[in-house]
Amino acid sequence: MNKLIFPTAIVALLISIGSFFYLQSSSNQVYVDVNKLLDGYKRTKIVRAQFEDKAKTLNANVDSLMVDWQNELKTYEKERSKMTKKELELKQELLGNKQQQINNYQQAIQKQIQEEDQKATQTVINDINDYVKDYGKKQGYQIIFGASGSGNIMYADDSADLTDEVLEGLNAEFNGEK
Amino acid sequence: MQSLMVKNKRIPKFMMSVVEAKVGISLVLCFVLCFSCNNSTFKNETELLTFLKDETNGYIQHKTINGVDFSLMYRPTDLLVNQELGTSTTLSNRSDATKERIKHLRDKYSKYMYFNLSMSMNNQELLSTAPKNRNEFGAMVNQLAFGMGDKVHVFTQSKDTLELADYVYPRMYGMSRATTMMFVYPRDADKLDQDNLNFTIADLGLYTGEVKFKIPTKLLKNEPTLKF
Repeated sequence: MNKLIFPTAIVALLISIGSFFYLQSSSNQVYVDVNKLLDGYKRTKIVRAQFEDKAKTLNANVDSLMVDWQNELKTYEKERSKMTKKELELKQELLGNKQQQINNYQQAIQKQIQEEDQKATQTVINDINDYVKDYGKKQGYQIIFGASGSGNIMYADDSADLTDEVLEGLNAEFNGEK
Repeated sequence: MQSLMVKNKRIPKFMMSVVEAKVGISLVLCFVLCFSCNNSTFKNETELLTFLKDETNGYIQHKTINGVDFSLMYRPTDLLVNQELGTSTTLSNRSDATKERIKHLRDKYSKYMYFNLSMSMNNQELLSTAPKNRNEFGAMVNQLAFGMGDKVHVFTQSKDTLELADYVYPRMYGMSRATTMMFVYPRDADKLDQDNLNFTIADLGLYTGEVKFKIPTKLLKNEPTLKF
């Protein structure tokens, strides 16, 4: 029996140390501030800049069409006194059609911009969700709340706030540092 | 037994328990080392597929984003070898020529890594649910058949991208429950020296954003095999 005492004691000690750390970490209720993560995540800035570039190009297309149309309208107003009745009718119809087309195009562009915005935001949210999920699993948390400032977490002690730690890891992963 | 004789030297009694404890710990360590790095071998394709489809083994991962289900499964080399061998080769009629062929096929297929990507909405193929009109349908067919190389990327943790070797998209014309395609990437040892590979799928117009799967490289280096 004496021979088994030493190894048994070591095993028991290891189990007790392991369970102490496991139970301690998993019993904590912790949270992350989602808005802070979104603002502080480096990819958000990159994705936002790409989106703004794209939106600017799309809006510029609409603006240049609009300017063309306005110039055409000015020319028409200048020259209308010289035009015959038939010519006036035709020009008015032409300008009306063009305006309608530009409006349709503008609506389509606005829709496309909204879609691009949604895609960009979702990409960042996916990254944050994935990282928090992995982090929670690795650290042995049973639950990590996401505070969005809309009252879902009214009070939490500062020690329960994992935002800075998660943000640091998230940015490190994005930079390819780990 | 009161004491041990080692090279004609007598070990004192009080040292006995320490020596035995060391031997015990060494045995446990040997056992752990032998079995922790051992890759699994399966008798047939069905068993291997069952193993692969068990999410706890890590070879398949699922994600659902905005109603779109994504599933990524790694296809080990032996599944492709078995597919090429077909049903003609069974355990009973193995010959030296067959063994040679198996070796040849393993060499051929192990140069690449194969991933099956499935995407579905409401348990249906994307083409059956996502497009709202003919134009969108045409654009999506084009995207799936020819443009996925621009949408799917595999890169290391340090952002080193693996070049896509090829991908296959078999059209199922609504008969399948998911749009499934196979992606092939070269198996470069230097790209597998980090913990994970990242597999990303850019937004295909379904408002999912970029979807990322992390694939642990130890699973790729130590993949399950078939017993031929």
